[in-house]
Amino acid sequence: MEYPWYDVVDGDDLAQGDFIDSCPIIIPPPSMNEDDTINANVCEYDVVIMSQSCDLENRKIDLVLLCPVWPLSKFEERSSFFKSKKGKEELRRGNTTGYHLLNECNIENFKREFSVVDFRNAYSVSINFLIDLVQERGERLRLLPPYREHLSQNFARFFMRVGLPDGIPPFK
Amino acid sequence: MACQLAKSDTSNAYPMGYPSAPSSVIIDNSPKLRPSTCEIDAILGPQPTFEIELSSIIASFKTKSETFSARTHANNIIVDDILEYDVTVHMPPKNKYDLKLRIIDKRTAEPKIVEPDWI
Repeated sequence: MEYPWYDVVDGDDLAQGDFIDSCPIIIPPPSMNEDDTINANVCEYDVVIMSQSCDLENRKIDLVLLCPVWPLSKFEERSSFFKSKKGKEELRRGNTTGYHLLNECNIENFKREFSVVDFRNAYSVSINFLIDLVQERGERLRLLPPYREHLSQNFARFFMRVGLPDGIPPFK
Repeated sequence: MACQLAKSDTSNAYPMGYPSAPSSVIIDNSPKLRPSTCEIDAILGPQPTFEIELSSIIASFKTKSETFSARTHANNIIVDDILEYDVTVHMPPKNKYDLKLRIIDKRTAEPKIVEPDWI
């Protein structure tokens, strides 16, 4: 049985798995005071919402957790590992810590190639800001179950990992 | 114990085989894994009615369970297939620019308390 990966939605009902293209992330200077005028860096990322849908729906959070999403081809440009067939296959199998592969999308006007979610560089933005942004933008792509749950579970696996000393020397 | 069961619950006309499951033998605490000829005679009686298949009398201890097969298979898995790759790729932002901002308010954040639903 095949499940569709994506759907197109609009409106302000944010959910886990919603894609927001060119989402601005403001990088403030280290110090600032009231009435100051400051120069702040703004970085734009294509992102996917990682916060749980129920928290968004019931407004139990003020900040929405976002992870950057990159076209696989961009990843290949910057990493020989991911350029290799072996690297891409390991990414597909879920064996690459911190990265999650998403399928390509063939929906008209929302076509996209295979993409990679980067769990290591998560951002949070105000939920009010995000609602205003999606209302202004209109339609957006949404990742559908069960792939949404797969993404969420993979993020949880990445976040829960603990690096511990071995304690026991290797057998000789 | 197996011999007692055989004597009390089994008629001589229907021979009971020696327990073939390895666990039964272990519980029996018997140092001998194979019964002697006289023990077999005691179990089966002097004149068994049916032809006896020896495999049911002399236990075969070669385990053929699924667990055993899986373990054997696990030894054949190439180690390379079960490793995780910890590769980091530093990606620059899609777009980057400066913005002039006027700070209109600066305050210490207050916690947002979300009480459990069942309270």
